Amino acid sequence: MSQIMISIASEYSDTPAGRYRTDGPFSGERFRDEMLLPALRENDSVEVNLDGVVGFGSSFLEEAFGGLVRAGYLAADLKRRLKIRTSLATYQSRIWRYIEDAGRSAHQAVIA
Amino acid sequence: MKRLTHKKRVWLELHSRRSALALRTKPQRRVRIRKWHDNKRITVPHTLKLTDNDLRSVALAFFRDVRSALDLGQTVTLDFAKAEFMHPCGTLMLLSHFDIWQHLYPGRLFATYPENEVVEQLMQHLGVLRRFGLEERTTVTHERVRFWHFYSGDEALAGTYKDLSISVRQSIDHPEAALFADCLNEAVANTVHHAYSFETSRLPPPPLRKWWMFSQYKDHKLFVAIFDCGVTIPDSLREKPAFRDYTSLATFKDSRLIRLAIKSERTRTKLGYRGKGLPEMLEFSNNLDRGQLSITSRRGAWIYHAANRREETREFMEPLPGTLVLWEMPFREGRSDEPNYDFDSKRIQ
Repeated sequence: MSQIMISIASEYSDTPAGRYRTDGPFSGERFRDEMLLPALRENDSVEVNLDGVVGFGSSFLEEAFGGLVRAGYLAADLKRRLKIRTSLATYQSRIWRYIEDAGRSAHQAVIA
Repeated sequence: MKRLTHKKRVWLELHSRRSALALRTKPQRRVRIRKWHDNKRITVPHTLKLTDNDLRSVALAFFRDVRSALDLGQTVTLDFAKAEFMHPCGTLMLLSHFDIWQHLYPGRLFATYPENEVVEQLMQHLGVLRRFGLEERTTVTHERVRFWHFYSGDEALAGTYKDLSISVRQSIDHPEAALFADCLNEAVANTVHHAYSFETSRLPPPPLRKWWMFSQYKDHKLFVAIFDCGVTIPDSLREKPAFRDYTSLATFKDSRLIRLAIKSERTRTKLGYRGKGLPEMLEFSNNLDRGQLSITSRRGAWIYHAANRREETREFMEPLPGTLVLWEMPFREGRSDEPNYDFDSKRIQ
């Protein structure tokens, strides 16, 4: 079973911000596309370390993690394969809320 | 042939010389006259403030005068001699307009030294003197100046103000002070993403669709001001297609529309607004014992007083061409005197 750990601060940026690539160079969209999605494709389990970062901004977190659902992953699958490591509990709960909300939105879109 | 008298010959000679001289000097005189007419001296208001009705009218008239003169092809000298009170809101708007004017009308904007020593220190501290080719002749020592820090950008690039986020996040008197950086990032990201979201004739050219930020940490409190020259919150809401479904909102004053945007009442109205930056600032402010959050956009303003959880709305006569966020929060006791709060001016961007 393959595992990988991604440290946002040391491997991406210690000052990530913004939702889309057009917002800035360290956006949530770019982090998801260039780091999270390849890691999920190539590994059974991915641990993301949020410590060491000087703040995120909700649009970064929503696009990076909620965006995984929009990219085709099921919330339940992510619960099993994605681990969030952070010293700030707020981030943990926020990220899972974004994933669940994105899952609900996708479900409603399918029903509609 | 008729013989000319001596008197007549002298007159003709003098006349021809005058005509020749006039022909030679005419172009120079024309240029001189045009230059005199083309240089307009505009006095910077004594008090530059946007959150007071009368002072805002004076400030906005000044901005309009400068723009009109530049549009007419004139060169403009900004006369700072009488400027005495440069409030953060007015100064931030002035800095944003320096960027815009100097980009649109290169080489046609000049400035004079202020008579007031504090204003001169401020202009030097913010790099304004250098921008206008004026010598930096003073030392920035004044308490009201040296604690100010200025940042600007056209991207959500949190590294620009990283020093601010790191230095204050452990000092703010808040149960989750680390989230201050998140709020700041989100506010800037929302400005980048939404403040210039549709075209109007008033918007600056694309390279100058930026955010401008001031911060100050002094006297046990942190103050942050963010300004954009964008489409404004009320206009942004009125532009939404869903807005037309809520005809009752059409008569809403600007201040009420700002309140609507901040308090996330969009679930009821389906008026998706410009992200979560402002609601998150409010949520953060809800956990402060003191401090204030104020959003001014177009004609309206919405103010939250953390001490008594009181909200206030205001309407101004003149519309602000953009959105101004003023955010004040207290430091924990005994944390405001640490030496790292006094940045050196090299860090100012």
